[in-house]
Amino acid sequence: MNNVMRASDLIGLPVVSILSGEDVAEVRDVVYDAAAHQLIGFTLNKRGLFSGRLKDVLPASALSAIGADAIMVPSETSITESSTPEALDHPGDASSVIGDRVLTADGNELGEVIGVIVSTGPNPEAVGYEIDPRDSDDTVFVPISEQMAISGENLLLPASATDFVRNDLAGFGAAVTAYRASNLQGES
Amino acid sequence: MSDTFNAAEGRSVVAADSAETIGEVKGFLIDPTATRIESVHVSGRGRRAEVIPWSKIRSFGPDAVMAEHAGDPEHVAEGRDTDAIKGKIVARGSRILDTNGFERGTVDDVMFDSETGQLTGVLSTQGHLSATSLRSLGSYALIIDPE
Repeated sequence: MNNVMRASDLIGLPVVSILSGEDVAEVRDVVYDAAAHQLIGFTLNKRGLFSGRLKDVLPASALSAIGADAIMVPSETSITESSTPEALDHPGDASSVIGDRVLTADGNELGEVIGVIVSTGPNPEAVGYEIDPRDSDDTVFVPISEQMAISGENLLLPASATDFVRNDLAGFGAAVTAYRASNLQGES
Repeated sequence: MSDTFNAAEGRSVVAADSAETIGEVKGFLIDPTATRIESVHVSGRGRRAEVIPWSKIRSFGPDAVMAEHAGDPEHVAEGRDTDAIKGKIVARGSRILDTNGFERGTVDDVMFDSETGQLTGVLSTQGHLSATSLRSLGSYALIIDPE
């Protein structure tokens, strides 16, 4: 889990079939369900210079891995026209987290959500949010947890997460791993 | 015997029945799972290029390649063969991508067993890759297992 990247950096990446070594599409947009803090999938463009929109979509459940250089799928049949989950049909309907105000448990405002951070490799998932603090130029990264309450206006950072807030993306990958380990210990 | 794509390039291809030189080795077409050579791309001298299936190669020698036929040039099939002739699917210079979606350099050379046509390894710009790590070869990339 040490490798993480901005979901916005996935846009334009090729979707490559492991079976054939062919680039079957490229990422048009990332579809994200903010209420569940879950990556749903991708809408796609055709490959090539004058590429248009592709009807087919790629559900997150169908992909093999997300890497810095490509989205890997088992084969060309992984991209599909019948879009389940339905949210892929109407990307705008998934509740957006961008612009939400991030508050700590003790009532401090960290700033505004400007992006989603995903883990790379097999079983990729949303692991954090990038925050733009109003009083500083440096963005900060906060880990996602199930305890995180979200209203479409405010995002509440649990007290347990405050130790794992980072201001560099490279260090944030390790922080997410540590945060999840501490959550597991808390449950047992 | 072990041979490589780079070493074999330009080697003369001779018809075993007529002793006539057909041309020289221009390149190789690998099967989609990147395990063996499917056919050898031969450039004729002034004539149009042809593709000789590996099964028609009697001997892939260190100085010359002995092919079965001298007569009709093998008809270039549709799809992969045509792509290979046009240079679309070429192993050498191809981008290498692991199944996790990370680029791992490009292909410098490919090693193979000259008796069976089986690939034995790939020399990439980042080091040696064993044949067992190869997954597929397409027009976009050679797909390999992650380290």
